[in-house]
Amino acid sequence: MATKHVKKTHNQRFTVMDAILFLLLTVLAFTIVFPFYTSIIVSIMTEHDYLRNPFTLIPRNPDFSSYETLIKQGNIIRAYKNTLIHLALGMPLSMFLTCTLAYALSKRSFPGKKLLFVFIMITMVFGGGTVPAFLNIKELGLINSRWSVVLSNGIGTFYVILVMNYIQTLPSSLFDSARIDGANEFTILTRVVLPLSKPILATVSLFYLVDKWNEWYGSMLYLNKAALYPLQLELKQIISNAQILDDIVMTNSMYRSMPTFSMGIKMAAVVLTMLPIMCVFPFLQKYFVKGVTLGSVKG
Amino acid sequence: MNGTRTAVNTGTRKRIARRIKRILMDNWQLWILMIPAVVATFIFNYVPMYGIQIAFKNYKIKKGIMGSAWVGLKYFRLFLGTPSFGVMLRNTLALSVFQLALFPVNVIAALMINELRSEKYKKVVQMISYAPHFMSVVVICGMIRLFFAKDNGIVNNLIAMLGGRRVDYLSSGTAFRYLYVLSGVWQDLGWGTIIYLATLANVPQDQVEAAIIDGASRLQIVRHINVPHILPTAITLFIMAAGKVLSVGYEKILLLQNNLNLGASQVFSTYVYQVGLQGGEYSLSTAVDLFNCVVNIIVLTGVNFITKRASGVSLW
Repeated sequence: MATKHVKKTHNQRFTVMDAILFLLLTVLAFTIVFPFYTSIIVSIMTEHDYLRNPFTLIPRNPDFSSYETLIKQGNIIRAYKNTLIHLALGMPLSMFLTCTLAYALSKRSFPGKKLLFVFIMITMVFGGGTVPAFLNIKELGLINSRWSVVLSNGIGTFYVILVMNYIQTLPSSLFDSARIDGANEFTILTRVVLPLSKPILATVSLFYLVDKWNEWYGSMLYLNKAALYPLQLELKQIISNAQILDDIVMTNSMYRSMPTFSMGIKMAAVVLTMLPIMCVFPFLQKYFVKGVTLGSVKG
Repeated sequence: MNGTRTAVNTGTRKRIARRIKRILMDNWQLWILMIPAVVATFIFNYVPMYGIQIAFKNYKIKKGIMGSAWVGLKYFRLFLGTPSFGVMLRNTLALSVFQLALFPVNVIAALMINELRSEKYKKVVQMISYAPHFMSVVVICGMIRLFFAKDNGIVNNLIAMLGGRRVDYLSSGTAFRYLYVLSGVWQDLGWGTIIYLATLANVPQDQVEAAIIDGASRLQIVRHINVPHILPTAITLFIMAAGKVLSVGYEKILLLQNNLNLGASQVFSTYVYQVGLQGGEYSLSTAVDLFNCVVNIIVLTGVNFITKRASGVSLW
């Protein structure tokens, strides 16, 4: 009885410490949300309101002209399209390469497996470096081709390991019975392994999705034509390249006589770039978390 | 003598050939499955390694990788001899050590979140704290540049509103270090807690109950049960972080860099980009890259070796 009583007080009383914890973590949460929130607010403010008080929590007269300007100018739409093309080409490719490789590596043993494993793992710690990679892409004739970005981001070694670890936990009796029934490796992979690996495939495809959405460095190195820029690179240009902004302002002045609010336009570009991820991630976060915890078990 | 050797050689060759044949034939379906991935890895990861040799050559585009003349360690000497080498090393270490010093932030955040009473609130805090992790470096740096801009940024507007003088954070070396490191902490605070929280979920409940019976306070439980429980994980992660002491996130640095903060923001990998792809000095750039990569591997192995000796925790 006595222990029960002690436990109760420990578990249920809301102490001063709980209050402090609650307060601290609430402050923390606000600190994390604040920059996002402010970006959105500034993007729908007029310059006049912004100069009067930049810290508005709820703008009195929300104004979407920054978005209008950006969209009318068209670069950002083009960039959206480019990013979507990268995803459409890159996602199936990456998933295909990851699944086939992970399945092969998940085999307990076959001659040559160790070699293959080392061959793949080395790429995690050692690579040619920026210039040799660039020269390689150039040699392949992929400069200013979307395939440079798509192919050079084909395999994420870490994700291969996640899938491999998962497949290894599946009962091998399933594979054996399929093999006795005369199924070949490809059939086993597509009919037995992949359907059973749905959770990890969901996780890994989301990781790929975010990586590809956020990709910009390879695009900067390999794509020199503005018409090919993906979203992230376009955002970089809008924020750091005064000329691009002038261009946007000029397009804007053709439509309206209002002065353009450059801070608002830049913020709107930030918001447009992060919005899709922001919208999907709350629903998908459990898959991401799973990926991290799975990775930490063995990796 | 000669004849027998050839005989032996053909014998071994035959055996090797048979072995290769066996390797390929026994699992030909598997190999066919792997071919695309192996070929892709070869073309995009291994072929560039072949290009590393230009670090030891005077690379001329016209002559190609093979045709260019060998110059030995010329570019390594050149690079190690410049004063910018010291500056870059100092900058890299300053950023890394600053980052490492803030390593416990994630641990503390995890311990705090774990102590929250309301499961629902815990979920909310976690979800919010994960959000920044998914934002691209371009978005994060974009926000930094907009918020801290001198003329029109929110932070400076606030300072001006309060009667202070505007500060040009984006051009200041010191401010660059703070912006770089603290934005990193902000971005990965929540994400970094995941592993710790997963570990904390496995704290043996009988120990906790025994401690409660013995009259331990909550703080004591955290200190004597929770902290020791996550310590091995924390040490492992710390080794990983310490091993990367010489490889800082160049993407973010590149995006925050300008001519005015270059004194604090130039590191090896950004130098590689500038000298190589912007300046066209391919050989020098590759030499710096190779140097950086090799030193990184040495440091990682070294740190791992030391901690393995000292604490028994190791990466491999």
